Parts: sequence; C-alpha cells; structure tokens
Amino acid sequence: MSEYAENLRSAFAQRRYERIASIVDSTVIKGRGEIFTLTDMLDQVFLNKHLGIPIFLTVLWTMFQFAFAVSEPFVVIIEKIFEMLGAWSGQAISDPHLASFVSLGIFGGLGSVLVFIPPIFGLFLALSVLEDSGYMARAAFVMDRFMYRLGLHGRSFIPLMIGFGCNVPAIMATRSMDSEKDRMITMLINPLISCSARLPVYVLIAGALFGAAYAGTAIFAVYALGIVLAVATALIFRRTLFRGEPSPFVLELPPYAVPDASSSILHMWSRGRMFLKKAGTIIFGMTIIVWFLSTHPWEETSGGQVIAESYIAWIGHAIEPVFQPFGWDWMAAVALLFGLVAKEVVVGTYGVLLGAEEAGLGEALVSQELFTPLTGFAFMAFVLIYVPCVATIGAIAKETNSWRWPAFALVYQTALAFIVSGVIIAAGRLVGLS
Amino acid sequence: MDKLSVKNGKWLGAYAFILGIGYCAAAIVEAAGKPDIFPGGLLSIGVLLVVSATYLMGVKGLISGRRDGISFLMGGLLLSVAVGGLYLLMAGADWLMYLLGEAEDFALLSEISPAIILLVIALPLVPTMRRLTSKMAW
Amino acid sequence: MIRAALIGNPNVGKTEIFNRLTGLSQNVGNFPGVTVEKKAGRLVHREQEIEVVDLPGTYSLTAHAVDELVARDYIVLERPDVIVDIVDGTNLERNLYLTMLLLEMDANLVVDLNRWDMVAARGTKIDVEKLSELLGCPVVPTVAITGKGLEDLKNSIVDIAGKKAARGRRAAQNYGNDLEQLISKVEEIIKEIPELTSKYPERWLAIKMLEGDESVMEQARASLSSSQLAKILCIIEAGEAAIK
Repeated sequence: MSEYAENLRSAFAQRRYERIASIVDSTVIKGRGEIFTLTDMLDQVFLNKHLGIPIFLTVLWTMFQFAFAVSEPFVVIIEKIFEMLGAWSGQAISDPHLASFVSLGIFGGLGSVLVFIPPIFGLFLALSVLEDSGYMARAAFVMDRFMYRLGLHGRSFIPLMIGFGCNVPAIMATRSMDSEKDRMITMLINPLISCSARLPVYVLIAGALFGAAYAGTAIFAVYALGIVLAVATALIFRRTLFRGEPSPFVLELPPYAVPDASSSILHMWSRGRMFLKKAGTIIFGMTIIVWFLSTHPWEETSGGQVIAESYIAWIGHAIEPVFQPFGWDWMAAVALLFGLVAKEVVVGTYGVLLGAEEAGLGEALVSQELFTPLTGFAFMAFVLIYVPCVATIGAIAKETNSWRWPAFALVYQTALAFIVSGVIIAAGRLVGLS
Repeated sequence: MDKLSVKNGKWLGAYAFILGIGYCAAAIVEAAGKPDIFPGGLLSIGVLLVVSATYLMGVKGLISGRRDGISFLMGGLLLSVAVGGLYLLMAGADWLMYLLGEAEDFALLSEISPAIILLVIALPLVPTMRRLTSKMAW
Repeated sequence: MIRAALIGNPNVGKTEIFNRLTGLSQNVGNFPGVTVEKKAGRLVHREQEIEVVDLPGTYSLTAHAVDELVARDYIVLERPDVIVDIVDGTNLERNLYLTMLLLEMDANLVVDLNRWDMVAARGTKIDVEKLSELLGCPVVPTVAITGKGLEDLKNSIVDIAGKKAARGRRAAQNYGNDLEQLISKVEEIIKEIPELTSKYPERWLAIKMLEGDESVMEQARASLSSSQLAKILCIIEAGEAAIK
C-alpha cells in the first residue's frame, strides 16, 4: 500500500461513515434497542466457558457417527448392485479382453471406490448443516483459545473442519484469513486432516484386519493421529518458518438459522459432485491404467489370471525394497504409487489386483496374508500422511501462487509418512507384535 | 418471551433435573454394560454426560426464573434431538441391514437405546419451549 | 439477457438469496486467473432471462485480499447490468459501507434489505422509500429464508436493468467540499485519457487514486503521461497535507 495517501485514505473512509450515519439517522427508527434473541440464548449454552468444548466434541461425534454408521446399508446396496452387474457382465460379455476390463477394471477397481459415496456424501451433508446453521463459527470461537496456544488462528479452525470432507475446498476456505502467515500454516497442515478420500483405505484395511469390534477404534486412531500431527506440525512451522504471534481473532458470529433442507442438500451436492467428477475422471483413468498393467502382457498372464507375470508386478517388485522394512509387499507398493494421484486409487488398485470376487476385498486381503494388524495400521498411517493428492497440491499451488510451497508440502509429508510409519512399526515390534 | 413465572420455572427446573439425572444414569448403564470401553464406547458415554451437564446447568436458573435457565433447557433439547435422532437413524440403518440380509437378526428392543428413550421423555418440552420463544427473533 | 451479480458482506444471507433466485440451475466455475469459486445460475422472470453471478462475500473492495479484488474487478471490468447488494437490515451501519463503495463504482445497484423479519422483530422501523431516495437506487426488503420479497427483488432487477441513464452521482455521494474538489480535479485529468475512462468510471478512478490504491495506481502509471502523473501526485500531496 502506498504510504503517501494515509490521511486521504482515512478521510475517505471517515466521510463514507459520516454519510452512512446521516442516511441511517434519517431513515431508521431503532426498536427498543437491545433485544434478546434466540441466537443470544443459544450462545449462552454453546459458547459456555465449561460446556463449549464438550458440546463441540459431541457435535463432532454425532457428525462422524451419522456419516459412517447410518450410511452402512447404502454402502451394502451399492455393493450388491455392483455384484449383480459384475455377475451379469461375466456372462454377457464374450470377448475375454472386454470381460476382464469390465469385471476387474470397472466393477473391481472403480466399483470399490464408488461404494464410498454414502459415507462421503453423509459427511458433506453434516458439514453443510453445521455451516448453514451457524454452528461452525461457534465451534471456531470455542476452539480459538486452544488454537491460539498452538500458534494457530481461530479462523484456521473452519478450514481444518472442512478438511474432514475434502482438503481442496478447505484450502480455498483459507482465503478469508487476512494474515498471510496464519494462512500459509493452515494450508500446509491441512492435508494432514484426514479427508473423506482416505476413508475407503481405512475401512478396507481396518475392516479386514481388526475385525468388526476394533475396526472403529483403529479408524478413530488414524483420524486422531492426523489431528495430532497437524497440531505438532503447526507448532513447528510457527516456531521456524512463520515466526510471530497469530494475528488477533476477529470472527463474526452470524445468527443461527434452521438449516434449509434444500440449500443444505445443494451445498452437499456442490461439494459431493467434485468427488463424483474425480471418480469419473482421475480415478477411472487410473483404474484403466492399473487394469492394463495387471493383465498385460496378455499371454504371459493368461488374460490377467497370473498376476505375478504382469507389468504391474514387475513395477511393484522394482519399488518393493523401499517399503520392505515396513513389511509391505509389492501390491502395497504399487497401490501407494498409483495412490499418489488420488488416495481412493489405493483401494481401486487392490480392487483390480485381488479381483472383485464375492468374498470381498477385505477377505482377500486376509486370506493372502498381505498385512498383519501392525503393518496394516502403519499402512493406514502412511496413506494418511504421504503426499497430498494431485488436486490438493494444485490447490496449494494456486493459492500460494508458487510451486515452492506445494513442493515443500510434498517433501515434508512424504518424509513425515516414512518417519511415522517407521516409528509405529518399530514400536510395535518392540512390544512383540509382528 | 413470556415472563417465566416462578411456578412455571420450578416445574421446568424439575423436568430439566430429571432429564439431567436420566442422561447421567444412561451414561453409567452404558459404561457398566461395555467390557471394551475404549474409545468408541468411551465417546458415546462422554456424549451422554455432556447432555446431562447441559440440562443440569439450567436447573438453578429455571428454578429462580432466570432466562439463562431456558437457554440451557433449549440447548439440552437440541442436543437430545441430535443424539436421540442419531440413534434412531442408526436403528433404522440396522433394520435396513437386516432387510438386506447383512445382519443375522434385528431385535427392536435392543435398538431402543437410552438416548432414544430420553428423547421421548424430553419431547413434551418442545411445545412449551416453542410457546416461550415464539415471539423471539433469531 | 440481463447479467446480474450478487454482492454483500459475509453472513447476510447472500447464498440463500442466490439459491432462491436460481434454484438448481447453478454451475460452478472459477473467476478468470484465480481459484475463487464463481457460482452462476439462471432464471427467467417476466420473459426476461437473467444470469446471476454470486460474487465473494466481502466487507470492502480494497486491492489486498483476493476475494475483494475479484469482486471489484468483476464489477468494473465485466460491467454487469445490475448489481444486487445484499444488506443485513439489522446492521445497516456496517453493511452500507460496501454500498457506498459500490455507488462510487457507478454500479447499477439494487439494494436488497435482507433479514426484514428480524428488523421487524426488533421493533426497528426503516423508511424504505426514503432510503431508496437517498441512495439513489431501489431498495427491496426481503426475508431470504422464507423467500418473502423475492418477487419484488426480481421485478426490481428487471426494471432497473433497462435504466442505465438513471445512474450518475447520487445524493449519498457527497464527501464534503474539500474531498469533492480533489475528486473533480483528478477527474479532469483522467477525462483526457480514453484508455482509462473507457474501462473505468472516472469518479471511482479519482477516489481510488486519492486513496493510493495499489492496483489503480499501477494502471495509472501505465497509461498516464509523466506530466499527467506528476499533476495527479501533486494534487494528492496537496490534499494529503491539507487534510489532517
């Protein structure tokens, strides 16, 4: 800002306010002044010194329960539809190339990702309702003191919450933050907040390895790990890259409103369709590549039957040594490699590699003994942390207007992924797990 | 808002007290009934305790006819609706799973969790709250 | 087709108004060159097709925040036929600041006085006709959450879209003799540069220069001759010294 017009600038602002004051004076007759609104009443409770944070945690718990538990039967319905289509296509298509592509590529690969539409949309819906009702701003308010202690701005909170849905809109939401340092920190730690794209991986691995009783606990632990890492990273960045105090927190609290069903659904849809678009483009494209690589050369693999002879096995074996210390095989290696593009592809890759038999992916994972609970959990942590997806990298690049920061995010997160997974494995072996 | 008469307030205060104790009791029952508490169970217990605390914090204000008493009662009701509603939806989901053949059986009785019962107990308060706040703006 | 844009402070119910106006016919894109989301939708009212663009919610229109710059570039460069400024009726003092800035931009403005139900609930009375007269643009009370007043809003949009002549300096736009003199001095110099005046409203340019707005000054340096620039800087300096 040019310094020479300081007086003029404030003179203009002042005159505008004077004009406004005179207009308001001559057109508005104030009511009885202070009135007590429903918003004031609700804020007495939701912003209460003692109850504010517990109520927020209750809301958070309700949101996740809604997204995950209530959506279960709908996941099953989609699974059944894919099963039926898979069975039908197996009979109806005579060309072996096409049959393999349809059953492995589409129903195995893409299908294993699409079954996660219900929980992902559920999460988006819950987030929309929280935003539209005005509660989200209150959550930011009650968490502000805590955030400040972490060297974060109260305003960083909403982008972090949105990150549970998807990191891309979350990074865009940092735009309303006026301090550049606060904004940078919020953007850089955002990918550590576990977005819904990573959920399929957790559900697959945890469901297969920890059993129904403990799968929820394992998934909860990964989410918590992400939050802890985000907090720790924020603290480190604040003390190294972006020194200084967070700027003072000014947040307006909009009045509460009963969320309008149609506008909340519209809100959910405008975010959810990004997932559908991604499924239709990037994930589908990657699935085609994975299918091609795992069924070719066609003769050697006998039409995709002997996966060990395929190109993908060759690639997998080439990069396997990197992940050997963690106890992950070549399939995990290629899944992670293709998952660089979008993390759902990790599941999609397994879907193609293990085939979409009736037994289901989870059981195939168990029967082939690809993971122990320890290596499986380390794998979940690795998927949480390593390299934000291409869209997130792109969002960081656009928002920071440089390639330096996304490159930095890529490097620090990959390093962090290796460290954290390594620590998990080492600690687990120390206490005698395999 | 209608003036909160002391008589009215005593009655509402007692109602809030019962609900507060009810949620607390539900939390204890839930804790006793679960061998492996951590962490899913722990969280659902915590949620019941939060609802309980919200109601209990309103009791004093309601009895002495203060407005903040109504605030806490309203906050508690909203939480009751959110948590109870969630359990209802989860019961619905379990039923769907049974229809889809994914669950062995569906026992209606075991689906009626304390949170649902307490929601039903709390519901008669809704018309009263509506009347008390009908003239208020957001 | 009428091109309309919605603007307003955050949390005034802009999104609800947008949804009410356009329903499901929305598409989401980006504003050129930046990642600020651009939502647009269409509706037909009184046989007129209206395209509505939802601009980012802002308090001000300075050059330093991305959202604000996007909103203002859209208004001055794309020149939509109608700007709908959504104002929280319960907080006119703060909300009208943006309205003042929009009037400076010579925007073809409709002021949407939202939260009208809450204004009434608080027992506040607003003389809508007089407000409209003082601002020099139509003022329409609405309640976004119930859809009340939306038909009036649509009518106003269609009515004013054709009346560009009604624009010009409004009653609201009197910033006092000292500032007005400075503005007209700068305007006089700017008038001679069609490169600028063809794109931007003169008064707005003059005010922004006097305020030392980065992005406008950059434009000015590119298109003004050095003597013209010196003259303007001279006026700014004199004004700066005179106003304390």
